[in-house]
Amino acid sequence: MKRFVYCAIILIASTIFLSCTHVDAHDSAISGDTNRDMRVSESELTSSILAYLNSSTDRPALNELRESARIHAHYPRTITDDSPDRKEITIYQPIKRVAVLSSYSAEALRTLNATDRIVGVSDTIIDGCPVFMPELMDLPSVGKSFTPDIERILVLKPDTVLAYATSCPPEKLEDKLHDDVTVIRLGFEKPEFMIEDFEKLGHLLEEEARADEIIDFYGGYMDIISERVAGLSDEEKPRVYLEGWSNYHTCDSDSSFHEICSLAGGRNIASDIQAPASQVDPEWVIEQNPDIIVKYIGTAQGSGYEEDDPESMKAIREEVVSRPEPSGVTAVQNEDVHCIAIQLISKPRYIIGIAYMARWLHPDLFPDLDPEAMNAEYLERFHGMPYRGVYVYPQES
Amino acid sequence: MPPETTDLREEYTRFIGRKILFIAILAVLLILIAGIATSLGSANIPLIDTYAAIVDRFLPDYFNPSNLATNVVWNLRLPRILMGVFAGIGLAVAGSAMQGILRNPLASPYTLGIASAAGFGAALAILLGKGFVGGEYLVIANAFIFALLASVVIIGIARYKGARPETMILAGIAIMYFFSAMTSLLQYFGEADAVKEVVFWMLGDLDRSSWDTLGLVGIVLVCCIPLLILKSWDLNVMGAGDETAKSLGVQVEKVRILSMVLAALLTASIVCFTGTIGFIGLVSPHITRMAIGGDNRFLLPASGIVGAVLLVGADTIARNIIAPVILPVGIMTSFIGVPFFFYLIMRKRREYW
Amino acid sequence: MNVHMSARRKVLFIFSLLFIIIIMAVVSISLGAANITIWDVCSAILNKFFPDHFNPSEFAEFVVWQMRIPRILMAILAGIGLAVAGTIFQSTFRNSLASPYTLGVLSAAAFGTSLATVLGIERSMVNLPIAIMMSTFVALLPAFFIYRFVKRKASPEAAILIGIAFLFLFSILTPMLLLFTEAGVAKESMFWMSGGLDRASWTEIGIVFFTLLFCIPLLLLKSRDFDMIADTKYITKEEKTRNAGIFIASLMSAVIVCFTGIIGFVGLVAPCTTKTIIGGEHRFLIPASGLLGGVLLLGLDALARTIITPVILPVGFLTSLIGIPLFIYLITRIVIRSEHR
Repeated sequence: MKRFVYCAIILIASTIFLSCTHVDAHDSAISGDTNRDMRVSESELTSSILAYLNSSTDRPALNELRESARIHAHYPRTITDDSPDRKEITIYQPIKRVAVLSSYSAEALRTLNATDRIVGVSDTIIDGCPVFMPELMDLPSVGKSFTPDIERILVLKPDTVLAYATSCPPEKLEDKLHDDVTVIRLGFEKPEFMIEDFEKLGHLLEEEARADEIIDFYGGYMDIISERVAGLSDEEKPRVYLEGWSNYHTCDSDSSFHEICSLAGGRNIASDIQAPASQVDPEWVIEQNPDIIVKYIGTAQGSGYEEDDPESMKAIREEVVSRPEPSGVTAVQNEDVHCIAIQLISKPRYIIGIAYMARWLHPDLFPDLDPEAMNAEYLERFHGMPYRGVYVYPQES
Repeated sequence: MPPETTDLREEYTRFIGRKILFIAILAVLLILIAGIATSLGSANIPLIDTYAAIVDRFLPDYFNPSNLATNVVWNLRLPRILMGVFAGIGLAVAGSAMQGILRNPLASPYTLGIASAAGFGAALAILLGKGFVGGEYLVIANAFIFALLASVVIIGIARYKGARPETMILAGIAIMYFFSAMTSLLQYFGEADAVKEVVFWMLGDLDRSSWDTLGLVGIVLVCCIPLLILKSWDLNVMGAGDETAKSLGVQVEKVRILSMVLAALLTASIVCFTGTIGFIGLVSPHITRMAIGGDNRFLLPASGIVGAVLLVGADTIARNIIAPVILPVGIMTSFIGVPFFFYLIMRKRREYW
Repeated sequence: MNVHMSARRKVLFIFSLLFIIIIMAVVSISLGAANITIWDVCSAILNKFFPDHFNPSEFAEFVVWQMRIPRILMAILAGIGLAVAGTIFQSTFRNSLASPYTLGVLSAAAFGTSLATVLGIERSMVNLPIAIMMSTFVALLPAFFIYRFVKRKASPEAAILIGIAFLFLFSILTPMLLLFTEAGVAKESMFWMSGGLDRASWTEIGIVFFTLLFCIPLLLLKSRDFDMIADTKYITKEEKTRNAGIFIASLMSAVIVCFTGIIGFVGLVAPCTTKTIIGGEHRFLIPASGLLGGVLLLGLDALARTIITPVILPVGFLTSLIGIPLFIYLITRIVIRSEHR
């Protein structure tokens, strides 16, 4: 009797399991794709056109026909994204509705004239850039960027989600969305990926021309800087101590801040340190005796486009300079302590950060470089926004 | 048949009947709470649509739920709730089995350090074995090995007659601290991305549940729990002391080791997918014992259901209490568990034993 | 404890500890990410007392006086304070597993300090006493709660379990507090959860020093009473001394937590080790275990700074790695001993 009950329990449990298999992804129809292979072949297009011309009862609407012609000509489009396993992404029809988790991607989308395709944004974007991206403020939120609220995403019925490269594990994002929502992870990871990432995004959005424009902007300045830096020997490159949010948390060779520093012709004194985002011994900083100290300031700490009062940035720099430990260090004695807004060293605006860094590291090499003007150009030309904000301290005279 | 025996039998049947009634009521309560939890969420789906989406799967063609409702309910809410149910059942059953085996009211996967050990094993496997084939199974296997290791230590201590229940728990907590210190140590050797994953093992949540992981946990539950329930008579007899149990023909050592291994396996498989969620395995057996007494045949299944009710309830509250902020469910269960822990230590011992 | 050691040898033990501490302090002054020779270090130190005779580099002088010595002093003082507090807790609770950490006193104090920060009490000289008072107040809670519980004939293990329960409680309450605060404050408060010595400034060292200077002699004065209290053979009614002992030990722990965060297990390891070496006579036990605590924390901090230079590991992490095995050993000893009883 007892055993019978247990067998019954096991049976019932397994049947419930079997019945609860995956929900099939409801396939999103591509107009004109009659055999549902996600492509509009020549014969499919021809038959749609014929159906239209014959004025048969089920004739397609003209705009549908246009869409199928466009899909036939331009799709599918394939890229590899920046996720750790370099996932291959194929888009079968134009991207129309995008949910954006990463603020970098939001910025890139506006550069590529695609803001109107955004249907939802993460809290990080809403909290972080009310002045910089006012047009996104009224869009519905899709939760935090690292822990997105999948239900809210689904309600918006996006066809694409733009996420950070690594920050949110696939178990919490891809695995929960069904197949007709494409998750694209573009990190604009490191300066070297910048150009690639704009190419990819431009390709997917059919905004190649605009992408080329920003790539030219980026590449033009990058060429000037790397050309002049290339001639320097190691000894001519100043030694730089980079600091993050908290005191004595430095940036090791995996960080993008390190990359920016080396591109601008500096040597990061922490490039040999292994442990990620570790606290370092102040003594070590003194002994390394860096020629220049650069600390980045978070947007919430009072920097960037949203801020117009340099006071808090000034206060942070004062704190660094007045620390008792590094008072004898060359950088402090020469007043070569700089603060830079995190917005300039992260993602689409790398180049401006590199330019500032280059000016600080090699003022003689770059007398003609005007990072502020570059920033203004970037904002006006690629965002249609007037120049404003607090980006560096101390400001150059 | 003499009348006294009949009375006794009747009384026994009534007694049993009451316990079965309790289990039935709990099951209904669980379905109710799960039902409520299914209807709560940030996507505003009408109540009727949620249930239509569920029923539609079994009786197609009668209802027409929206695609969105089907998707949200089946791919997001149900996996999460079912993982809550499974994890609750598994942890609570493991907890009551451990309490029975060790005759220790404070025992549970968390307070004996077995959950932390499993978490460390999983973290280690993730950090070292990223590239291996069948990574998921490797993680579970490693978690299980470390959970077994902790169980061996605990059983070793339990062999001493001088080991008071509190002493054993102290040892368990020391094991817990040891393994969480080891897990923090891992942070200094892993790559940044992997380390982020590791931090997850320290604090439990149900965010990662999917049908695949549910299947794995479900298989472990379906294999282990009936076996444990089969051994519940033996556990009952062992409650009267090893000597008595031996004289009644129970192979005490065998039963103890087998049950402990099963409990460890349950714990490990759950910890792999939810992280360490504390105190469910401690609290639910006690609540159940207060209601229906210490007969393991009923205690095991009933406390499992209580655990499921508690965990699903705690998770639902954690997600909705200060929305849109989502608290980790581990913090919620600690809020229930820590006061209970105080109470258990401070009350006069052996009330329920 | 069946240790028969003559008073002279005990005094000798204390002095040798003192000697070790001085040697270790000197050694650890010369250790660090900056490469300074021992000779430079010595001349930097001596230059302060006998100017004009030595010519240390400015760099050496700065590193030694502004960075290493404060850190080392804080390590020694915190070690002494935690170890003495541990000794007193072990005696008053008659419990070899008791310590500021395992009784939940440290995490309670950390909660108190975090609360003060969250309530907006800035850490200036004027407000510091308020923060210290708050953390002491919260720290007294677990100590006296457990004491009342012990008086009702609870087993020592149960008392420690209550302590652990407090530890759980405050370690979930502190992050909860932080949910409602700004990011900057939250980061500040996380500091108290994982201990470190890198904040030591001369004023803070002064505060800790004077607290210890006030507390430890008081305890030494009452050392005879503590002998009676700790001895399980007597049923003493030394309520006043016990209460005072618990209060002072909690106060010391709270003050230290305010400046170093939670550094666990030093208050457990030092008294236990000392007791097995020189026995339970408090005249000798209190100073000896204090000094041993100082040696321990100093040594571990030196390790934390040098294992992967220039990265600094949190020292509380190293103390746990030593303390947890000892804790497990103590538990097994209790188990085995009650087996033979």
